[in-house]
Amino acid sequence: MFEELASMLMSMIPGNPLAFLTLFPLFGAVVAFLAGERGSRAVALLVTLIELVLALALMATFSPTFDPSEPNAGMRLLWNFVLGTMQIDSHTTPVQVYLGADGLSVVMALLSNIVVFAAALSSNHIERSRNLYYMLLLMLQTGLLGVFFSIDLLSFFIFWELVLIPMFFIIGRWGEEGCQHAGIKFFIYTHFGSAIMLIGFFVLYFASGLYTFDMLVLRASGLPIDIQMWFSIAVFFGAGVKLPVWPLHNWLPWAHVKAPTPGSVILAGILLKMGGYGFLRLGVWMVPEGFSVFSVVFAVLAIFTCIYAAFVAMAQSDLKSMVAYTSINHMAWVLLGVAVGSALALQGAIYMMFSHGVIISVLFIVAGEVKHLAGTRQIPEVKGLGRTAPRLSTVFILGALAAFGLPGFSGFLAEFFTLLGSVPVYIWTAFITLGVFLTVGYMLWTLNRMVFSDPDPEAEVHDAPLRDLIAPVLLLVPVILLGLWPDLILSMTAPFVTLVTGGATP
Amino acid sequence: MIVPVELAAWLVFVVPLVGAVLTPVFARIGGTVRDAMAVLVGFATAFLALDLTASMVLHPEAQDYVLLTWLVAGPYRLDFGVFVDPLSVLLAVIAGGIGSLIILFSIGYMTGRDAEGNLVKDPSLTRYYFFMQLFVGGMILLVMADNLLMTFIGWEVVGMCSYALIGFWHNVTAPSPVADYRTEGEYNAVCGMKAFMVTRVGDIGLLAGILILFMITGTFNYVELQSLAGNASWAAGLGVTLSQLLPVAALLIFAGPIGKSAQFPLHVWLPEAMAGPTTVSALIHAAAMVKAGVYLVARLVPVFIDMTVNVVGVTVFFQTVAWIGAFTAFMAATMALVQDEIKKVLAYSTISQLGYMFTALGAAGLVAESVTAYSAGTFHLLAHAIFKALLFLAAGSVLHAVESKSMRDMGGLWSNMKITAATFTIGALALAGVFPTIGFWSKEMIFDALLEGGQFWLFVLAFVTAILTAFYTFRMVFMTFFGKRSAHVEELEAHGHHIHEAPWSMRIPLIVLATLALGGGLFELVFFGAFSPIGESLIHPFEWSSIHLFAMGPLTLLTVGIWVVGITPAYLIYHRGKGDFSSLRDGPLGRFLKNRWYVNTLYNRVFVGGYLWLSRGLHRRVESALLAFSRTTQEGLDSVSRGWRRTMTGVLNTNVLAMMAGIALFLLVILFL
Repeated sequence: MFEELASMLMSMIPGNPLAFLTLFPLFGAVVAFLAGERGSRAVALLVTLIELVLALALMATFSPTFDPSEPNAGMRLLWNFVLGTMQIDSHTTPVQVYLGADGLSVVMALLSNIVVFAAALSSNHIERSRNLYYMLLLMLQTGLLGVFFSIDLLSFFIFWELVLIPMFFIIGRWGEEGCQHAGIKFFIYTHFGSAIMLIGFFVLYFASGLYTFDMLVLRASGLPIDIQMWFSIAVFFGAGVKLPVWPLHNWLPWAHVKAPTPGSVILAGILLKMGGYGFLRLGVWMVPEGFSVFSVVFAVLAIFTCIYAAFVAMAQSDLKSMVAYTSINHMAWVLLGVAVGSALALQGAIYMMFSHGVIISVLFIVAGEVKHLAGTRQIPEVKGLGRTAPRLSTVFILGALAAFGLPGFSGFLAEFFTLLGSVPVYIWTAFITLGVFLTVGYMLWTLNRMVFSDPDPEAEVHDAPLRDLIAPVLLLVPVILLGLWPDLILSMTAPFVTLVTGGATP
Repeated sequence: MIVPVELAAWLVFVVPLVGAVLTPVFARIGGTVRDAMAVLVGFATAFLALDLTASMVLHPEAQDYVLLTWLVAGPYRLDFGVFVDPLSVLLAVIAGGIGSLIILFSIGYMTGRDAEGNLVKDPSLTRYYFFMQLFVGGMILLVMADNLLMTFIGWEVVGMCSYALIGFWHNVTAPSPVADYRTEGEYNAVCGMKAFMVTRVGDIGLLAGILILFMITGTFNYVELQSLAGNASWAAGLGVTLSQLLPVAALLIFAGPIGKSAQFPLHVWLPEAMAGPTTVSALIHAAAMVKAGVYLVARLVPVFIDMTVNVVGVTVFFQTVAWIGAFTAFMAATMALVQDEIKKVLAYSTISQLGYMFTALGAAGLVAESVTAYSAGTFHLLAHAIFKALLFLAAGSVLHAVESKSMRDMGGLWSNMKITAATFTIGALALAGVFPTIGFWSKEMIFDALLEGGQFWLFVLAFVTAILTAFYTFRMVFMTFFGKRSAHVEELEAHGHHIHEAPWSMRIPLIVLATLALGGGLFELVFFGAFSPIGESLIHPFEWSSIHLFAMGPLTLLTVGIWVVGITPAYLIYHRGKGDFSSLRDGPLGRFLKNRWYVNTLYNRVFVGGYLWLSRGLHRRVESALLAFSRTTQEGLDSVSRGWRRTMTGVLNTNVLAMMAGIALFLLVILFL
């Protein structure tokens, strides 16, 4: 029933579904801009909702299993559009947008459409130049989907950078006081990483001797190990800034704190996942041998980042900043899983990306609401939410429980898979559990101070209106669903994982 | 029996979990419906658990029922299944049966009086019943699960419920009992957090242990673990590293029970857990939560016993379990001697009694007669569940009437609340281990096992603890129900607040439990006798029937004798008021005990203080250094670009001059190179 509906929906899409998914928001962006102040929100909601439904339909109809002897490494629904050609020496290289999807891409696309939809829903407090805002939001979605579907390094890079620009404006224009500085900081940091990664792309282009940007060709060509290693380092900078990894993380707390709520949601919910995806697609998938050379280094860095971020999060007095550091803390798990590279650890990393994307969005929306209702986000100043704002508190508590990985929520399984995959490879990776422990500590401490404390009689706090809570409640659905039924994601990503770990396809 | 076993084994935890989820729905219909449904769900669970027991008695066999494959990840697959054997059924009966009595008791207990003296229900009862049912459901899930992972999930659910329920009264605005917080509500919330955090330390060890065990054995399933454990060729094929890791895994797994069952060094949370409603304390102490740790050890002891044959070094697990248990039992008993709050005394006695169970279970791997020790430990689990639930509920009844926690505010309550007093005294007799209560039989079994197994020093420690237990238990009884009425009680009476007996919904559970505590010794015959054939079949390589029942040897006489040594001084000091011990109370020993051996203070300094120090240090030093670095980079580049811009003067003369100089330089380079 559900699958029939999904395949019907898919058949209604004109042309290639991936191209449609990627470009439809761009079209929507133009419409939203033209729709003016009033209509733009409706257009954006409609477009993001359609995108979400289509992503679900794509997931339902997509069969991720494949025969390893197939060309294309399991990439389906290929679509390419040649923009022009480059003539270098005697080689002709097409400059093209080349899209394709495997299980991993589909999962990431679904996540980005969920997060963007939630961000659009929670944009109801955006008052200034709304049409411009929603245009940027929809452009962002095109960039995100493009990154997850691209199988050509050049188009990958174009989309990767396309994400940056709308985000920069959203932070800089609609953020809080000091947001311009934060926006520039965000831009410079990530651009710095991207630049190094771009160098890596060109090194690969020339040094491989293939004169191609096609990821499938590059992957299959069996690159020499030293080129793979240099490329992995380049990817580390590009994706590591996004993820972020200590000590490249400094832009993140600023960008989050100053960004408007939906901006933070997108930043934490999906932008950071581009980093994780970069590691998976460009590192583990494309240059597995070279990437595995750095396994120990990356794993150590991941564990350090996790514990470090947990400690720093504990010291924060701004709720949003605390959540931002939690984000760093959780994304370190992704790096750990990717670095270890065993089948379960990779599954854990992907699972963590998805679950963190939805959980952290809930927490950012809560932080935004707290600011909106209480006038401040300072943890010691906001008191007694449990009594004054029971609805918001419920969402907050659920989000916090999910964030520190209580079984029954998706975060637990993500951490569990990563650990289960990592500990047999490197037994010392078990130290990352200290990060979990600290997370429990500061999350509960925050709840105690903000929710279960005695309300301040002088500060008047109302409960969040129901329409502000639609987005976080919707986001909690996948959190709990995936906590109970992990196969939804795992079955999609299993062939990808077996491919890169070199096992047989299940 | 009535319900098919494979169905009952699932329903027994699904029913309370669903009941919990539906609680808010019923609350919409009405408060009474919600309360009635909670009781109904409780009794349905109890019925299912009892039905399982009956099926067990009639058709004794251990069976693993797999429902579904939860996930396939890489080479591994995880199944969701329930495992029905005497141990899981015993724990399910405890959690379901006692849990249902506690929920029934809650109806009366969670109703208070407002300023005008009208009966009012607690406004957050929906939350209360939600978590109570979730608690019971999580606990039963934990014990019925057929694999370590599902057990761990139940384990965490239980932990989360304890957090929510200990901090249940986070809204109370009365002044805090501890100086660090503004209101009692904030203190309660902190207590909940402490409980969760401390047990979480153990949980992380447990998770790591489970993972390492999985790494070694490749399975989470108890049945598979058991069959591997007895397999000599498997053990031989392990290799050096893995077989050395096995004891490590066992010890890490034991970290979980240490936290959950409040054993030294993670015992510090349990006294604070008294901040919750008394019914919650009863649930935590008698039916769920702390029993989870004992259950897990009891579940794994047979596995590790089999492993000792083939793998060197696993004995260290049993040594640790037994000695930590015995030491904790002793330490907690000394702390209980000086407590003034009735619930605190009960809390320390729980820690102490749990220590007994671990001593017995640990001894099972150390002595030749492991059957005796093992069944002594599990039987004491049952006994403790019964009498501790009784004591807590009776204490709750007292608190409900007196509206104070301190025993110094009680005294002479016997005449006003006879049923409560009588049932409480029965519970106290069982805790002290007086013939013929259930506590007597279980403790006697433990001593018997220790002595016959040649564990003399463990026996001495357990024996001294038993004397202390008898003393503090009767100190509590005499201070609460006998002797002179305290000033507080007189004042209450003077204000027209008559000390009254509890309503019937509270009295029934008390009477049921008191009957069980009094006659429960018979279980030793019936219960284990009925289960005996199972021992040979599957998971337990034990023969229950070989227990020496009613071994009325010198040991029994001794056990009977020591109560006299313990109880008589308590009677003389606290009932007759003989002797003055204030100098001892306020002396160094008294202070040492009052401050809980200073362990709590030490932890607070090192862990809470230390972590905060580290966290602030990293934030102020490292994080800001990184910021400073990026700022310096920016400023540096900025000043370079400013400096460079100064050369772009826009004045034609300078430009031409520079151009000329450039051309000249260029020419020179070309000419001379």
